[in-house]
Parts: sequence; C-alpha cells; structure tokens
Amino acid sequence: MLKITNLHAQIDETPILNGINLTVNPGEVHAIMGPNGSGKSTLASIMAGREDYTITQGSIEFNGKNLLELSPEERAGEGLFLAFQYPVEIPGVSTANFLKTALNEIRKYRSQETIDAMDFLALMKEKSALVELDSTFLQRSLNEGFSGGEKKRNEIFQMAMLEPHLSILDETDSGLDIDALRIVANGVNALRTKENATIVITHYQRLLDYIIPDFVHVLYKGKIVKTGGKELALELEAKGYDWIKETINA
Amino acid sequence: MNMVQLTSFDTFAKQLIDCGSDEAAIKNAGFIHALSALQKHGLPSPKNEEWKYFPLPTLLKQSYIPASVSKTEFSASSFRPYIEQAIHVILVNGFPVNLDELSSVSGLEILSSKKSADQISDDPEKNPFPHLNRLLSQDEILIRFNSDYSDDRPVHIIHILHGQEFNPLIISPSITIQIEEGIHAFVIESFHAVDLTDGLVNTAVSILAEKSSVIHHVIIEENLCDVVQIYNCNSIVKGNALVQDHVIIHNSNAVRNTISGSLVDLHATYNIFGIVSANGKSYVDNHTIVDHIAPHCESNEMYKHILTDSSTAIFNGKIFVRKDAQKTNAYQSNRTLLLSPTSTINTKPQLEIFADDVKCSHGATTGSVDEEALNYLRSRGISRDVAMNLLTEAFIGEVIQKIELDSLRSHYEGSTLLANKE
Repeated sequence: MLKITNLHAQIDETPILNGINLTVNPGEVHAIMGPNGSGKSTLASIMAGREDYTITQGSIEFNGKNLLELSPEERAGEGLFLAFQYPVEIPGVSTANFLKTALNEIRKYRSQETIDAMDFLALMKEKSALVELDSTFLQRSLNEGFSGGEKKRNEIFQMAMLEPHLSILDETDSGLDIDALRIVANGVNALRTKENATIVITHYQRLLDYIIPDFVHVLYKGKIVKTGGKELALELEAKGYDWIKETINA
Repeated sequence: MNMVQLTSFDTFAKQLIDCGSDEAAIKNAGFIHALSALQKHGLPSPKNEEWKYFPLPTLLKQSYIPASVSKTEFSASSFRPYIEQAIHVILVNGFPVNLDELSSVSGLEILSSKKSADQISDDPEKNPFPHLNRLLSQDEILIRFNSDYSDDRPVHIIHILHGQEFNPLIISPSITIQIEEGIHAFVIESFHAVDLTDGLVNTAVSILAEKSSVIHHVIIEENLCDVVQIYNCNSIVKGNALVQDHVIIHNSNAVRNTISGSLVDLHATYNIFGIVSANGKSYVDNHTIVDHIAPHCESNEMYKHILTDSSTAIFNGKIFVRKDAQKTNAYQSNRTLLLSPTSTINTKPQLEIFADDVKCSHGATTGSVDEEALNYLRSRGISRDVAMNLLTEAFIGEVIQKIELDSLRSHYEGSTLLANKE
C-alpha cells in the first residue's frame, strides 16, 4: 500500500529526513516513535503534501502511484488521510458543510456520484456517535472555539466520514486527557479493517495501550533506527530515548 | 442631439431648455440653489479629498444627453425573479411606468412630481452629485408608507437603465421614501442596464423614518459593466426608529456610493452593511457617513470586500458624534480579502467624537486567504478552487446573514457573489 524508499528531505538548507525506508501493507498498524526533533511530524507533513519541504532524494509510492507528484487534494482522493496535530480553526464554515464538500470532492475524484443529502445526514449521525461528538458541533464553525479534545475527536470523526485507505495520526494523543484518549482510540479501532492501514505518530507509549500496533519504528535524526513489535514501545517507555541515542551514537 | 456639459455650469439652464426641459422647472427655488452650488464648486477634481481614489476624470465624459422616457415595455418578472412576492415599482431611466398598478396596495402611496423646491442639504464641495441630480431629474418619485400600511411584501424598485438612440446618456433617478410612525417597510433597489453601452447613472434617494418605524433598504448594484454608477442616499432616523441600509455590489465597473444616516432623536438606530465583490479593472468606492446628533442612539456598520484581478476598492467611513449625543454606541468594521496581488483597497475609518460618554469602535483588516486553512481543506480532498470559494463565502457570510428577507438572503448564500460568477 505504502512504500517509502530512501526519503531525504530538507527545509530551507537544513536536512530533516535522512533516508527513511518504510513499507505499510493493508490491515497493518505502524507506530512511529521518537524524541523531539527527530522528523516525525515532517514525515507526516510531507505525506500530506505540505509544500514547505524540499525532497532531495527518494520516493513515496502509494497504491502504485508516485505520491510526491500528487496535490494534497489528489492524495485525499487516493485515500490518504492525515489527522493533524494542530487542526485549523475555520470561522464561517460549518463542519457539516465542510465534510459534505470534502466527501463529494473525493467522490468526484473517484468518478462516483455525489452523496444524497439524506444519506449524508445519516452517515454523519452514525460516525459522530463513534467519537461521541454531539450533533450540535456539526453545525458550528469548523474547530472554532473547540477544546483540544474536541478538535482531536473531530479529526477522527472526519477520518470516519472519509473512510481512507491509509490514515496517519500525527500526535493525536497530545493534549488529551485519559477519557478523550480512550474515545479517540476506540474510534480508530472501530474503523480498522483488513483493507486499510494506520500509522500512529506519537511521543509516548500511552496511546499504544489502546491502539495496538503491529510494528513500532523508532525515528532518530531523520532515520528509522530500530523496528520491532509492540514490546519495543514498552521498552522505550522504560528505558527512555537516551537508550536509543546511546546505541546509535556509539 | 442636444447635450449638457458637465465641465462648466454657467450656461447649464439654457442647455437644459435646448434639451427640452420645461422653463418653469428651472425657475424653481430648489433648482436655483442646486445650480448655484454647482456653478461655484463644479464636479470634484482629483485633488478633492472625498474623491481622490475614484478616477472621475477618466470615467466621466464632458457632456451627456439627458435620458428621456423610453417607449419600450418591460416586465418586472424578468428582473430579480428570486425576490418573492414583491411589489414592483418600475423606473425606466428614472421615469415611472407602472404607478397605476400600484394604487391598490393599501397604505402605500407612490407619486411622481416635478421638481421639489426643497434645498439639498449635502455639502456641494464634498459631494455635488445630489445637486446635479436635482438639475436633471424630471420625475421625482415619492414613496410613502402611510399609517395604514401593513403589507409584508417588499417594495422592489427596479431601475431599468435603457440605452437610447444616442450616447452617452445621463440618467438621474430621484426617490424620496417616507415611513410613517410605527410602520415597517422593506425596500429593495436594483439597477439593470439594458442595451446601454455608455452612460452615467446619478441617483439621489432620501429616506425619512418617523418615530418607531422600521425600514430595511437593500441596494443591489450588479453587472453594471458599461455605466458609471453614482448613488447617493441620505436617511433621517427619528426616535426609536431603525433604518438599515444594505449595499450589494458585484461585477460592476465603476461604482461610487455616498450613503449617510442621521440619528436625530433618542433611541434611534442606523445600520449600514456592505458587500463588495470586485473584479477586472473596476473601481468601487463606498463613502458612508453616520451622524449621531441625538443621545442614546446606536449605529452598526460592517463592510466586507472581496477583490480580485486588478480591482480597486475605496472605503471611507465617517462617524460623527455631536456634542449632545451622549450615550452613543457606534460600531464600524471594514474587512477586505485581497485575492490577487494586483487588487487594492484604500480604507479609512474616520471618527470625530465631540461627546465624552460614548462607546465607539472601529476596525479595518486587510489580508489574503489563510494558507493554513486552505491547506487543511485541501488535505481533505477539496480542490484549491472549491476551498477558496468556501473560505470566501465564509468571509462574507456574516454580512449576508444581515439581509432580513429570506428569498434575497438565500440567493446570496453560496457562491453567487464570488468573482466572475453571475
């Protein structure tokens, strides 16, 4: 589904990613962990199509296409979804109107018919219940005045509505209390199928108690320096990132 | 074909007679007052502070043919059909054509009269166009909402600007609207150019809202590509009355509005809202004046501009709070979205406050679309163009929500006003 090969990227003249290799297959959950400044969010931003970065080497293949050649909206059309670390507030655009537009734009990209208004309402009702998002939120301006937890729930709600093939959760656990964390994780787990895949980017092992990964990768200095099973996350939690740093720098 | 010169007004009265104007009209006191004002000041020069960004010298011709009555018949239904169940007043080049049909509406009186003897109160140095209107208008329309008026339909004044055999035309509609005590009225004016390739439209409107009356007044200036549109409106708002002006300007080439409201008695409210969507090389100039004369009054003003291509907009919002106007609440906001690097806004809030116990605020912001918001929408599959439209609609939505007529408001919700769309 996703194949990242030897990805190098920089912002201005500063190298951030120094040769990432990662393969994700349908049905898998991958966790990417690492200390601050290791390049985790850069990787997520590049996947989503932010233009602030220069790719100097390597490739990203998604469902057989060269992802780096696609615009952000085309990537979404292909089934890629990024749950943002800092969702943007957009006054004057209701969540409902935004999602209806997004859903229909993706359907247009896939040469499908636009969704019927009644079907859309039913879908919104079903999916908002999944993350326990009150229906009054849907009529409010997108993320405007939402608490940190509500914004993150809204991201997962959008993910549920758009049914992506590959979801990337960028620090979705940051700023969440235990209850919100559980709600978000339950939402993610409920959306797992054999066909789709998830990449969870996180600092802490905590989220991985709820979303059980098949693989854990440690990112450090722009490279994946260690890969293991879910037990690697526990080891990191116990030993801290210094353990990795020492191993690598030695 | 006889024309009137706008470069000098010394022989204007004679020129008018040559154009067929009747001699009694030019001896009237109101006419003489307006003429002497124009003889003294002429039309504004580029140095005139009130007109400096609006390129009058390049827009105006030296002479014009005063428009006359058109023989063509027009059907109201082909203009703004989305305004439901309106009472239509059709003015062709400023001349009423269907007043007979309107006599059946109870409490509504619409009269056409020759020149008023009243003097025009505008300062001719700042804005002489109401004076020019007085010289040239031949039928002055009086719309009176009498004390037995209770119709809830809007009155829709359809200004048809109809091209005639010779160019350029000058069209001078003149309208007075009076709302009796306690009466509620909704008036829409819309301008429509029909086969007019070159013209100057100089409209003068005055509104008198008696105690506790309410009038909503929407002015639609859309698709005026080949005319210079100069629009002047003065409102007088008495105690507990509300006057709400709402201007919608879209896809028009050269528009200058001078709109004012005077709050003359306790607890009067004057609101003025504007939506400007400009494209091409157009100039859209809105000058507003809110004059707080009496205490305990309130005014709210909000203008939003969406500018693309090489369009230029001008906004000047004056608020005067006179010495006696204590406990005034006056709010003004002007926000502009520049969608292209070559679009321009000149904005100037201008508050002059002589009372000491007042709440006044004003704000002006100018910027382009929020890139973060744009990226967020695109990452959800929304193409750049659609995302831009969503954000632009969101920007002007706040002013559209102020239109208190369902059919008109729903027409402007969505993408109707976005650049280059009709």
